Amino acid sequence: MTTLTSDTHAIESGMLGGLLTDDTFWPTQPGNLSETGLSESFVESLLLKTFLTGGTLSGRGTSEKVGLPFRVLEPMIEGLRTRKLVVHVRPASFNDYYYSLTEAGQKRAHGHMQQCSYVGVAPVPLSDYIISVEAQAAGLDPIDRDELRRALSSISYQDELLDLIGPAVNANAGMFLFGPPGNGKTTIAHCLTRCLGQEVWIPTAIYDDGNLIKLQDDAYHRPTPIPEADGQFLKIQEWDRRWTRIQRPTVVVGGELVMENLEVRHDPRSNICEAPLQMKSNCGCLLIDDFGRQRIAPEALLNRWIIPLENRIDYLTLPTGKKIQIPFEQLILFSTNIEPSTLVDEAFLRRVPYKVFVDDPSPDEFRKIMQMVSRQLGFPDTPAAAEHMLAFYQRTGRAIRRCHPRDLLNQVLNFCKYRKMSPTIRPDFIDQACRSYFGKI
Amino acid sequence: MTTTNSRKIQAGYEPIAGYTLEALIGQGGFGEVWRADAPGGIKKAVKFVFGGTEQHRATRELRSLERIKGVQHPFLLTLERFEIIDNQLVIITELADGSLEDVYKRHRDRGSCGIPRAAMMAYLHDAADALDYLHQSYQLQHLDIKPGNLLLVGGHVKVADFGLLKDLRDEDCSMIGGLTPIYAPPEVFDGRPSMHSDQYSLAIMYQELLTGTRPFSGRTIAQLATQHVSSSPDLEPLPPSDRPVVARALEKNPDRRFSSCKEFVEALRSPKSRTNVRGVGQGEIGGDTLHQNTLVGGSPDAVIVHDLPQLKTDLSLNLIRVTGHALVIAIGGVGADCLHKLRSRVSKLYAASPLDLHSVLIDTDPETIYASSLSESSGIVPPCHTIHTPLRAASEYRLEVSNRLASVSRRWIYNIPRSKTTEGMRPLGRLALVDHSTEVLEKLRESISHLAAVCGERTPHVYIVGSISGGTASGMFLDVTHVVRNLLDEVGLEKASVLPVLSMQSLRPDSNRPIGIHDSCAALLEMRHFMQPGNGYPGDAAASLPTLPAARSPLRGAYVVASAPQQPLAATVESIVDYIWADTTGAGAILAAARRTDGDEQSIELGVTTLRSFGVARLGGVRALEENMLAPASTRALFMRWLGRPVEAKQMAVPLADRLVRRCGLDAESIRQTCYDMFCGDAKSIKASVLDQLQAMPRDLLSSASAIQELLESFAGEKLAHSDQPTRVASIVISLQRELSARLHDRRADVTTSIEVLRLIIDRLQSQSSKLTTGSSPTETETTRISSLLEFGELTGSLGLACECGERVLEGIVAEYTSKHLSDIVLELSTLQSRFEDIATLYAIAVQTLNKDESLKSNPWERMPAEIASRFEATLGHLHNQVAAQALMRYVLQPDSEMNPSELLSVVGANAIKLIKTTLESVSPDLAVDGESDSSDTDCQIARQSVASSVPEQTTTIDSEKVKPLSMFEMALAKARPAMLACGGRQRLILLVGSEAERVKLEQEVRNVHTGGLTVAVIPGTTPMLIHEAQQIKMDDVIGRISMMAAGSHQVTQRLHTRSDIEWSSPPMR
Repeated sequence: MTTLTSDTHAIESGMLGGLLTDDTFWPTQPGNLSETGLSESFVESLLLKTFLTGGTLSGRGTSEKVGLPFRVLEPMIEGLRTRKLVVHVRPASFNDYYYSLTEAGQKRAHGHMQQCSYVGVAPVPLSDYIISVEAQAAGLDPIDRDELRRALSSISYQDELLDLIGPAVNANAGMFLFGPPGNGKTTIAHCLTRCLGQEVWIPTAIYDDGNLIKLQDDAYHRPTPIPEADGQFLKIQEWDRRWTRIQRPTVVVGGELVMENLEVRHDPRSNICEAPLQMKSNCGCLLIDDFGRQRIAPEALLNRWIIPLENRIDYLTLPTGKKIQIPFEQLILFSTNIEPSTLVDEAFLRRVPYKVFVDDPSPDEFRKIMQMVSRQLGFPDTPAAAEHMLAFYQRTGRAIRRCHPRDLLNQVLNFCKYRKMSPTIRPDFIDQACRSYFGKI
Repeated sequence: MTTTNSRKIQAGYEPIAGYTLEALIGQGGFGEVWRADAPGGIKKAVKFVFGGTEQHRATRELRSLERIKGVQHPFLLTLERFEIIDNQLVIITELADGSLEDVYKRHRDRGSCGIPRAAMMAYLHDAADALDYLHQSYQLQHLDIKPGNLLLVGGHVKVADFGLLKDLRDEDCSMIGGLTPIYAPPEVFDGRPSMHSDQYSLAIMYQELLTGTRPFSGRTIAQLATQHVSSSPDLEPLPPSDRPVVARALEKNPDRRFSSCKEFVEALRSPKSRTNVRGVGQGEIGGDTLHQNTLVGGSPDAVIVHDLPQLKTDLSLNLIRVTGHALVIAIGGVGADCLHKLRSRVSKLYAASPLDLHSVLIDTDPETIYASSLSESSGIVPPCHTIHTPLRAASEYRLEVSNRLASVSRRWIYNIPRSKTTEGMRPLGRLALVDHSTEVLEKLRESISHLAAVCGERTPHVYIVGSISGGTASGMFLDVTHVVRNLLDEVGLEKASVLPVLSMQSLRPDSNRPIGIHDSCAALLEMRHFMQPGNGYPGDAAASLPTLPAARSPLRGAYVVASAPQQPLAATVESIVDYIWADTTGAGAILAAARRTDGDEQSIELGVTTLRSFGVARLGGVRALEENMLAPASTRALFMRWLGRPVEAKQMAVPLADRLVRRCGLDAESIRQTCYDMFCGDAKSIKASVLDQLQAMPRDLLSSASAIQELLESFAGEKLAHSDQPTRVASIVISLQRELSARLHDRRADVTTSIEVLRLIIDRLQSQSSKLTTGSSPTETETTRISSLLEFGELTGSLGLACECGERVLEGIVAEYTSKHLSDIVLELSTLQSRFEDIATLYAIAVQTLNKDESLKSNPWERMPAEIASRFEATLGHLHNQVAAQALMRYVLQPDSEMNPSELLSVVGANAIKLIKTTLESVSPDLAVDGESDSSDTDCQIARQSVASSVPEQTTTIDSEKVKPLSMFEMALAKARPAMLACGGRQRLILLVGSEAERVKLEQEVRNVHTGGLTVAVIPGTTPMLIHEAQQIKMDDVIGRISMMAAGSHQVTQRLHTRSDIEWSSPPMR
C-alpha cells in the first residue's frame, strides 16, 4: 500500500503576496519552465541574445535581466554550455559562474537577433495578460461617493457633478466630459484613475504565437514599490519579475492621435510590436483630450471604439495576420469644449452613455477649491485670497475656472520661492500671478 | 360600565334579538364565549369582547372582523354577525364541538403523551388549508395560531379568533400585545410578521400536541421571547423523520421556511424515514457529582477547566458488539490520511472487521485521489468513492457563462495557482467545490443512498473529516456537512448523526505555515456564523446546494482537534482515527452519551457558540484489534474443546470408563478382593482365618450360631478398626482424578466426557453394590439356616460345620463391608462428578460471555487468509499447553480453588493475545510491523505490557520494565489532553478498556496520576485508550486566541472567507 504523504500544511504558496496586499492579482513566481508559459527554444534564444548584448554575465545577472528565476534558467544555461554555445568565464559567488558566448553561440545569437531583436525581460503569455486585466479591471469593487469626493477634492465640491461621474466610473464605460476649457477635465481623468484604487500589475511584454508585443511604456506607466513584507510572512518578496507593479495608468492623448496609435505597431526590422494605446491604458483610464481636434474625424474615432465599448473586448491584428482578443477594461473619457451633439450625430453619442457637463464653479465652490489647493501647496489658510480672486473675476469679467486656483497658487508658490519667502498669499502676489497667467489684467 | 355589562351576560340574556344565551363555554382574558339559542333553535356561539369599543382590544378585533368578513373557507369558522351592543363588541359564530386544546387534554388524561400522529395530521391539514387560503388570497396572517384557536366542527378543524389578524399589505404592521408568546414566531417580536409567520406557530403547536413537549422550554414571556429569537428549538421529542421538517418550519428567517403551510404539512405527511419509531434510550448521563479539579499538567494560562459529570457505564449494555456502519467523508489531505489509516485498520482485520466502512474522499489534489485509488486493492473494505474536484485554470472560469460561482469572490478566480491546487487558500477549496457541485452532490447522494440500502434498520455513523487549517477541507467542510445532512434526511436517515471531526494546527504561532492560522480563524468564524440559531445554512442556489435549517445543522456537534505544540500532524490524525474507530466499534454508546449535553444546557449562556474537542491516547497498539478479534475466538474455541460435545462424550465415555475401571481397580472383582484383603486376604484364606478364630473359641460355644457371629463380628470389627479403608477410597478417587486430568491435559478427553465417565463408573459401582446387597439379603435366612445347621451340628458336634457357618457369617460381613466401601467410593466420585459439572458450568458461562460478541459466533479464524487460518489448530494447541494447568487442571485437582468466570476469561484471554501476536508475527512480518504505531505509541506499548504483567505468568521478563509505567501514564494523560482546553471549557476523561483485567490494572494506574473524575468503560475487544473529551469551549475565546496569534492581520483572515455573499462577523476583540 502506498502511504499518502499529502500534508495540507506544507504550503509553499506564491499566493501569499496576493493575500497580504489589496492587489486583486498577484503574479506568482514560476517554479519551472512550463509555469512560465514560454517555450524552451524561446527562452534559449532570449538567453543567447542577452549574452550577446550583455557580454559576460553571471547566471544570476542573466536571471535578473531576463526576469525569470535562476532555478528555472540554471539548467538551461547549463544545457547551452554542454552544447558549446556558452562557456564558463570565471566563477561567481553563490555557486554561480560568469558566462560568455562561444563563437558558435555568437553565430546562433545573431541568427536569433535577426529573427527578433527583442532583448530584455521575458514576455508573459497572452492568456496570463488577459487574466491579469480582468482581475484588475476597475468595477470589481465599485467606488462610492466618499471615495469619489476624496479623489476629486482638488477639483470639485459639487455633489451633482460627482453623482454624474460616479455611476459612469462604476459602469466602466465611455464618458463625455464637456464644458468650457480650464475646468479640469484632464485633471478629472487623472483623479478618476486614482480613485479606481490600488496599483496594478502589468507585464513588460506579451508573447503570443511568435509575436512579441511590448506593453510597458514609461511614458504612461509609473512603477510603484512592492508592498513590504510582514514579519510573519517572509515569502511575500516572491513575485514573477516579468511583471511590474505600476500606478493605474492614465493615458492622455490630444490632437496628435492618429488611427495607427490604436493598432498594434509592428517594426519589421526588429520584429517587435508595440502595444496600442488602449492596451497600455488597460485597467486605467484613456483620455482623449480635445476630442474633435484630432487629425482624424470624430466619427472615425468613435467608430473605432464602438465594438470595444459594447463588448469590452478589442480585436487587434498582429503582423502575422493573427487576430487576437484583448480585454478592453478601462474608463474611456472624451473631453471636449465643443458641445458633443455638434461633433457627432446621435447614433454615435448613444455609444458613449455618460455625458457629463463640467461647468464653471460657483463662487462658493471656488472658495472651497482655493482653500483646498492652498492647503495642499502648503500655504497658510488665507480666505481673503479667494475673495480677492473673486473680486478680480468680477472686475475683469473673466469666467471662473476650476483650474485657476491650482495654476495661480502654483505661480504664487514659485514666486515665493524665487523671493526666498515662506509660502504666503498676498494680494500683490496674486495680481502678479494673474498678470503672468492671463497675459494682461 | 364593564361591571354592568358583565352582570347582564348570563343565561337567558338576549344581546341580539333572537339569540338567547344558554351556557358559558369559554372565557379568558379576551372575554367570554356563550352557547346561544339562535332563531330557529339553531345553536350558535356568542363571543363578548371585553372592553369598550374605544379600547384597543375591541378596536383591533373589530378591524380584524372587517377584514375577515369577506373571506369564506370551509375551514374558517363561519362568522354569523357582529355588532356593537352597549358599547361592547359581540360576535356570533357557528358553534364548534371544542378546540384542539380539549382534544389534547383528553388524550393527555388518557395517559398518552399527546394526540396520535394520524389524527394530528388531519387537523393540521385542515388548519394549513385555511391559513394558506388566508395568506395567498388575502395576504392575511392569523398570528394567533394556538390549540385553543383551532376549533373542531364535525371532526374538522376550523380556524377561529382573528383578534390579531394582520394584513401584510398594511404599512403599519407593528405588533401590539395580545399575542401568545409560546407560539409566536421571532419576526413577530420584531413587529414584522411575514407570509410564513403562521407556519411557525403551527409547527410549535404540532410538536406540543404530538409529543407533549414544546420546542422552547421558556416559562416567562422574556425567556420565550429570547428563545424564539435566538435559540435553537429542541426537536428531540419528535420522531426523527419529523425533525428536519419541523426544523425548517421553525427557521428564524421566515423566507427560509416552507413556502406554504400546506407544503409543511405535506412534508410531514410523507416521511422519508423507513422507521417511524420514537427514539429510544435517551439520557445515559447521570449527573452525580461535579468535580472542580483541574487536570494534572493544566495549561499555563490558568484557564479554569471544569470537569463534566462522569458517565454511568452500563456494562451489560456495552457488551454487545455488532458490525457498525460508518460513512467517512474525508476532505483534503488530512482527511485522506485519516481515511487511509481507518481503511487500513479495517482491511487488516479481513472479513472479521467489526466495522463496515464506507467512505468518500473529496480533494482538489490529483495525487491524493490517485494514491487513494492505488490503495484500493484490498477489496475487503467497501470501495472509496473518490471525488476529484480540481481547480481549473483561471481562463476557464473566465469563460464560465452560468453564475455558478456567484458566491465566490471574483478575486480568487483570477488567482488560481499554476499548480491547480488550493495551496492552503480556503476560498479556492470552496471554489473547487462550487465548480464541481453537481458531481459532488451526485456522488454523495449515490454513496448515501447506498449506505441507506446497506445498513437497513441500523443507524450509521457519518463523519466529516478534514483540516480547517488547510485549503480544500477548510473551504469545503461547511457546505459538505450541510449537504450531507440534507442528503441523509432525503433517504430517511434522519437519525444518523453527522459528526464533523476537524483537525486544526496548533494554538501556537508557527512560522512555517503562517497562513494556517488565518485559515483556521476564518473557518472558525464561518462555523460560528452558521452555529448561531438565526443563521441557517443558506445553501447556494447558484450551485444547486440546498438550504438547511439552523436547528438541523450538524456543526454544533463538531469536534475541532488542535494539534499540540511541537507535535507532528500525524499525531492529530492518529487521534482522529482512534476516536472514530472507538466511536464506531463498541464505544459508540458511551461516546454518544458523552456528547450529549442535556442537563448542562442551562449552564451555557444563551447565544454563546461553543466548540468541542478531544484528545486520545492509546494505551495499546493497534495490533490489539486483530488480537482482540482472534483471541476471544481462540479462547472460546478452547473452552468449547474443553467442554466437549455431549453426543461424542457418550460414545467416548464407555471404553474410557472400562479402561479407568480396570486401571483404578474399580471392577467388581478387585473391589471384592480389596475388601477380602481387609480381613483375610482372598476368599480361600477365609476358611483358614475362620478356623483360626473358631479354634480359639470354647467348644461349647461352637454350636451357638450367635456366638460364632459375635466372635467373627468382633474379629471383623477389630480388623476394620485398623483398616485403611478411607485412604483406599481416597486413593481410588485420586487415581481416577489423576487419570482423568492426565487425559484432559493430553487433550484425550474433555470435561463432558469426564462427567460421562464418572457417571458410568458410578452407575456400575452402584449396580455392583446393589448386586451385593441382593446377594447378601438372604443373610438373614442364611443365619437361620446356619443356626439350624448348628443346632443340627450340636447333635453331630462338628467343628467343620462351625467353620462353614463361620465362613458364611464372615462372607456376609465382607459383603456388607464391600457394599459400604462401594457406596463410599460412589459418594466420593459423585463429589468429583459434581466438581466436573461445576467446571463445565464455568466454561459454559465463559463461552456465553464471549458469545455476546456476535462476530465470534462464527469463528473469525475461518475468515482470515489461509496462511493465518491454518495456524488455528496449532495456536489452540499452544494455548492449551499454556493455560491448561492454570485454567483447567487447577479446578480439577484443587477442589477448593475458586471459580471465577471473568478471571478465567482474562487469564486465558491474555495468554491468547500474546500467543496470537507471536503467531501472526511469524506468519507475516509485514502485518506485524505496524508503521503507524512505531513512534507515537511506544509509550503506550510499555503501558500495555504492564497490563499484560497482571497475568501471573512470565512476569520475569516484564519486571525489568516495571520501573517506567508511571511516567508513561503521565505521558499518556498529557497526550490525551486536548490542546483546545487552553481556551477554557469543560472536560471529561474517559478510559476505555477491553476487559475486566485491563480495567483493574489501568484504572489504578490512571488514577495514580490523575486526581480528577474518570469514567471507565469496559468494552470487550476494544483497544484500551484514554479519551479526553472537552466541551463548551467558547468559540469566541478560541477565535480570540487565534486572531491574537495572527498578530492583527485581520485583513488576511477576512480575505480567506469562502463566500462573498454572506457577511461574516469579525473576530472578537480581546
